Amino acid sequence: MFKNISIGISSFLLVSMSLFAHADDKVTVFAAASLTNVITELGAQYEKERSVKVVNSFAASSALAKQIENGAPADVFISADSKWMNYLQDKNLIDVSSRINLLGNRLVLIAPKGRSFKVDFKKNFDFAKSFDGKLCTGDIDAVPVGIYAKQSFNNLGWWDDIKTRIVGSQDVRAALAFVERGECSAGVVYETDAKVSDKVEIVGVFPDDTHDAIVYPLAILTKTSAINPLAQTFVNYLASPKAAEIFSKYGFTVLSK
Amino acid sequence: MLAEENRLDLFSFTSAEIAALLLSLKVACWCTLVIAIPGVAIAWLLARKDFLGKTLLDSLVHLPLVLPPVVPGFILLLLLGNQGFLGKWLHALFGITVAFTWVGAVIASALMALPLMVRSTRLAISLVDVRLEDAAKTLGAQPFWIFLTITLPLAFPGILTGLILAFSRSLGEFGATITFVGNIEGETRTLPLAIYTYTQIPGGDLPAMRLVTLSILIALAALYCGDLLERKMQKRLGVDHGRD
Amino acid sequence: MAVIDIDLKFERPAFKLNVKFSSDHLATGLFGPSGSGKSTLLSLLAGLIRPQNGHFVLDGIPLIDCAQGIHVPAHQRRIGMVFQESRLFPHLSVQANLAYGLKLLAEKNQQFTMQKIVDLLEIGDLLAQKPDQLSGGQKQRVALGRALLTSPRLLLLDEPLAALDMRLRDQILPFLRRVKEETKIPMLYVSHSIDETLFLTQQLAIIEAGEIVASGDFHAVMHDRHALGLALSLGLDNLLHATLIESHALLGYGLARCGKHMLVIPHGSHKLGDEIAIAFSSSNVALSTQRLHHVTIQNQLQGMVTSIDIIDYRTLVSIDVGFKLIAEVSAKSIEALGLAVGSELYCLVKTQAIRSYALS
Repeated sequence: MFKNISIGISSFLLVSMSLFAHADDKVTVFAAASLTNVITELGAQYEKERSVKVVNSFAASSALAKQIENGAPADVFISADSKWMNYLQDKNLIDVSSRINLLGNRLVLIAPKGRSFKVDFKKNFDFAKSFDGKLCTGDIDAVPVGIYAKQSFNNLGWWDDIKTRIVGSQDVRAALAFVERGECSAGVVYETDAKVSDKVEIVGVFPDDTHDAIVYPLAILTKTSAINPLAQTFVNYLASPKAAEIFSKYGFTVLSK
Repeated sequence: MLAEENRLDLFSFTSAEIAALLLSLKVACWCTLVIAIPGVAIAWLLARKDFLGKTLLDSLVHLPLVLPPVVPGFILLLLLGNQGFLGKWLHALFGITVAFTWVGAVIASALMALPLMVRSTRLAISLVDVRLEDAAKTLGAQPFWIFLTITLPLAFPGILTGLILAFSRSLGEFGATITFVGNIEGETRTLPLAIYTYTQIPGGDLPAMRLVTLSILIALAALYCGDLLERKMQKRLGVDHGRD
Repeated sequence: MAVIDIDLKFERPAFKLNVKFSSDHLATGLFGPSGSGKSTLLSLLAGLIRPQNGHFVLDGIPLIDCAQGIHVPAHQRRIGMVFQESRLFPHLSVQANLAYGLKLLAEKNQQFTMQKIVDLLEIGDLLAQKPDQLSGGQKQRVALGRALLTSPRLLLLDEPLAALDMRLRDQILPFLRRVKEETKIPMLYVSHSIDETLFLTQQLAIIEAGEIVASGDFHAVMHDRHALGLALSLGLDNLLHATLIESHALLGYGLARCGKHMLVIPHGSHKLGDEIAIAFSSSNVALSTQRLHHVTIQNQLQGMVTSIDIIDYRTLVSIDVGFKLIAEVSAKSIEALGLAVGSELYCLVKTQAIRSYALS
């Protein structure tokens, strides 16, 4: 009986391994969490048109950069800020010639739907008093949206009063979820995230001069072996006017190359 | 990024790391305190009494042990979160919030550690000879007095094991904690969550390694002390389980 | 003096108990074979298990009355219990064990001081020790002391000496008697050893298969036809009332007058003039058609055969020697001697086969 079981198990393992063997006819994309909806839609379109499988992984850009550094098999990386792309560039993990700034975005302050409050984005505004409870955003030390948020708060002079009430999550979508659920009375996310959710409302937009320009760099990764030839075609697709339409639909600014 | 963390060697800790350690210890101590009495009470019920719904109680108590920790965490969020069923009521009546606070972390730990405490205590109580309790009855002792003076002292080594297991489990609690109270530095970022955070950031491997080493040392210390204490108690009680 | 009135019905799978019994004696022995329900009855009286039906009244106070829904919890009954396995609390010292029940007792109810009981049972130098350091006999004495210190209205003893060897048993029995005589606490003594029981009391209740088959004075009980099987199995089928006339310690014998006969019995602790019970089993009675002269058997009682019966494959000959004696012999020997109803013969009883009990 054991002989039969071990034959069964070995066959199963062999078959499942063969399922992973076809690394060549797909593109693996690691993208910032805020790109979840738009890249999923674009990836599905691409698959339909070109019959090439697009495999996506969405997380905070910092986490993705760490994974790529540790050898994750990604072909394309789209970060939500330049910092993490620079990090990988310094480690010679990207094809520098492929690096472009793909998109822009705006930073917004949100509240659960129906619980908005008045905010003036000025230095003397008492932000801490304008709402009760916690403010959710990405982890302010590593996740891009958190980093941008901290920059804005610092620039507006609100940081010291608000820092103890900040809940940092592992990516911008987790922060969004907290605000949607009402666990946080306020949140700082990208404008595109606020648009995608119908359970939050935008309280206001952080003025562009309070934080670094929000730029989404894209690059093809060199990995340990040769670059996946399908990656460039996919990147070209992302830079095409058709894709630009879809990015705009979601609220992203399409940057000229 | 993490420049300060990477300047130090394996044996020095940043203030953020020490904060995580102290928070972990605080949460673990409170967790153990909180489940001590309910744990013993439930264990006694399961060990000594028969009642309608006993199997249900037993299963409920064991659920956190067999479910993936995010599930109890999520349920806690639904119940006790700011918008949660009980959470809203608590806030309205008493102004109490537990979401995103260390108190919530204690609750998450307590829920996950309770089954371990109950299992160990139940076993210990069931090993106490009921005939001794009967003898105490004939000497005029009321049921609660018998529990305090006979059952509890004789079951104590097992109860102690349960408490130490609960403490250790709390130190290692991750899934329910991060789901329920998030990962807020200084408030809910316990050691496991801190380690996780560091592993998500490029350049966080060294601080992560430091905290991992620390966690292992603490766990070993807890288990070692627990074992010593338990053996000392056994000797003092002069209990011999059917040697002659 | 406790007046116990018991009428209890208790049922478990494969076991039924239906006990009707009352007594106003200071000590009663509850006697019966293993599995007859002795321990169950004591547990019911102590309140450790609940009967399905019936009542139990002690000194006029109803402790159980199922019809009225009364079931006083064990810890309120003031009924002490000594168990076969001492059940001393292993984590407490002897002193703490003794004090356990005493501390819970209101001062006005305390009949004995710790010192008095410790002296009575001679356990003074054990006080600081833990139960696992004591011998079996010492443990039972402590258990006895612990129960006594709660000044119980009734003391139940559930085969307290069964786990001890003969030597220890003989050591402790006098303590039990001392307890009975000096504390005057009513006792219900359960045992499957008749000798042990009789050392304490002549008042017996015989329990068999969950029912009391006979109760009362030892003599009456043993001659009760319901207890015949038991008497036979205990070797008490010959049970006589006698008076000790002479006692010779050096030569190891005594003389007891029984009716018109003088019987030679082993030397015992009885005093001259004491009323005693003499017992010997029927298998220790040999029959002879004439008096024997060159033989060690000194007890040779002359009498006449009144009946020859076969009970359970045993041939029992009943002889009237002034009182009834039963001899068990082989059927072959009856034929060989040509014995029949009316035959005149002598009953030969070896002195060593005779046991004697004090009658109080």
